[in-house]
Amino acid sequence: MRGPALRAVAEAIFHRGSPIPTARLDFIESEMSATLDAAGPRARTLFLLCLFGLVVLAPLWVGRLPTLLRLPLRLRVRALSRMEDNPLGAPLVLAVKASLCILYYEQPAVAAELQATPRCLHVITEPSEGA
Amino acid sequence: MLPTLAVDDAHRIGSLDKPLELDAEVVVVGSGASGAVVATELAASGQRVIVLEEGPYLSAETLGRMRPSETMRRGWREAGMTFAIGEGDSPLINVAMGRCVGGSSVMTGGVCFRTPDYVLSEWVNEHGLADLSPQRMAPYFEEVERRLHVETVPAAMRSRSTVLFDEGAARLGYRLVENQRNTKDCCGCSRCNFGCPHGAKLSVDLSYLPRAVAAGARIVSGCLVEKVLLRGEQAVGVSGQVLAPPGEKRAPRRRFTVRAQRVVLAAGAWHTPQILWSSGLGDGLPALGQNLTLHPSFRVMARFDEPVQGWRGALQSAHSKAFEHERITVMSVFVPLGVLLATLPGIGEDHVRHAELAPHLAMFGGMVHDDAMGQVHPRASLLGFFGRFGGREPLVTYQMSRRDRSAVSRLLRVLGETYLAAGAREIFLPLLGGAARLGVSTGPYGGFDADGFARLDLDRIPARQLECASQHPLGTCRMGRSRDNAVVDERGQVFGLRDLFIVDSGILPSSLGVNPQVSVMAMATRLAHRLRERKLAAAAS
Repeated sequence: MRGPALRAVAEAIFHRGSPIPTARLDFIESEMSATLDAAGPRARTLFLLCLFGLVVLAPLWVGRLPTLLRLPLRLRVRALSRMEDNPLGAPLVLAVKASLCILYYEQPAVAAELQATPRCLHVITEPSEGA
Repeated sequence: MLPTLAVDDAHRIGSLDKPLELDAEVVVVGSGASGAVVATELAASGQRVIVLEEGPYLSAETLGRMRPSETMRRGWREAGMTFAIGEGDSPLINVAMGRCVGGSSVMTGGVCFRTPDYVLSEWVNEHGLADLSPQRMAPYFEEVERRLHVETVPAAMRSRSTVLFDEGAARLGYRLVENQRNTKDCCGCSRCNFGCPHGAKLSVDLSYLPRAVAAGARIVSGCLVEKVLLRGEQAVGVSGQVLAPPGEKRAPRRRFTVRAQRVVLAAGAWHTPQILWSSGLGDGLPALGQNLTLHPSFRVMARFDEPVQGWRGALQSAHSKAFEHERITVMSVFVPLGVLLATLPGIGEDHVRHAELAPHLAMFGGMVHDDAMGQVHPRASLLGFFGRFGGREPLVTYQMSRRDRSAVSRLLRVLGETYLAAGAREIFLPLLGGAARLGVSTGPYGGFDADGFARLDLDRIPARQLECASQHPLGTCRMGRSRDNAVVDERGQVFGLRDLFIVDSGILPSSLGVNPQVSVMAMATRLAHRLRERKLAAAAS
């Protein structure tokens, strides 16, 4: 459930008119799994509750029955958008979206596309001792 | 060649099927800003010191190899998913804390402030702590600043995001001031919050602990301290669990004990109360776990026509105290691209459109000098009971006071207006839920345009709908004159016990309104100097 749910949500959030390459979804899934393992029981439970909430509740925002996984991509995007615009649904969306975004934009191909990797300015604050 | 520190992983000491037993004259629990100072000072004075750290050792070279999310997994508590739960109309607050050798000092932006004089005077006058006056604390600040190599961030290292904010500030009649940071040869790669990959930020694993080790101190990682061992009212050591390294889930469960003549707790405001409660020491200490302050922090983003590339430059280069009288400090900040994009509205193609906007986004933040309205809950309490599913993490709640809530509105107003004065096209507030629902005009990317922002009544937005973060938990074991409202006395000793000291951020009597690293270290230095002179109890037999 966890893997397919993550992929379904990620496909919707990062949808750009064409399918997301499988490598990117694989990256998100494996990295998220490692993050949840490191997070400890409470953070893991809360995240999974948020994910479960998205999967079950988001379809209601477009007048459909759960689960999100059963909706076509176009409706998934609309359901999550409407949920995000609502102050009640927004915390659930943000919790999952934030975690997925951190991972997605670290994926090497995505990072290369955006060219937003921090680099050194090479402005040294003062000479090193002995220099 | 990047420096490394000699650290023993508890999991690799001795035979794994036997409990680990160590002894020392002083055991220091926690290797962060305060624990490192005390360990170094005591070791340098000839005392036999062991420092216990729950997390792993991450050298600069290791940090340089990791992506931000990997650092969060290995070096941040709960992989960065630690929260204080808002009570009433208060936000849920994400509290970031380091969990590695060097503690949160490894993960800060390196910003260094002395405790403001008016705060120290308040401690003297309202808490009766005469020894904490600005004059008496000055030598400790000087010592810490010298050891940390505190220097001014040059204007050339400011990101465009910060430069634009300063331009807006100038038009509104105030200016930014250069930050002081504990850096040397910083190249401005903006990765401070994920550990400096160049060893340029002089966190305590680089500035203090090497001196402690050279003086004979031993640092042991992977040790989760659970209890203080007592003989009557005398602390005689600590015990706990050896944690298996990541990826070794099936490692045998192993206990450890460290016998010592003196115990110094430096596990942070979040966890030191937990250790005391687990040791059966909560009953006579009504202030334990109370009075938590967090410096609730908020950030605002602004869209400019010109490319900003806010990630190019020192992460935290400038601040302004122009609004100190309104209990807010504005501070430059930036976040990794993924975090930045997560907080912008949009799913699917809308999100992708926003992602392409990233180079045009500027960001600035600020914090509230908050009242003490938070609490770490003991497991024996009703809330603590519900928090048990958190494993070893405590349950923490936080209620924002009315004047803090007003300060939040003022902070968001200042940040937004300053960027608009600099020519921003749209302002993005840290709001949960879309801006359009608030009934004011929004821009093409879903942020507030100038007219919409001017008409927005920020006080009417429920605080629980704001995205809030903190890196500064303080005050849960505060210093004072009486056990009725404090946990430790002026020497840092826990009321009613001998040779049990607390030196971490929990002992600060109130919030500061500025980044607390130097305050915490100066307090620890002051306590360490007193401990140096204090005779050790007879060794436990």
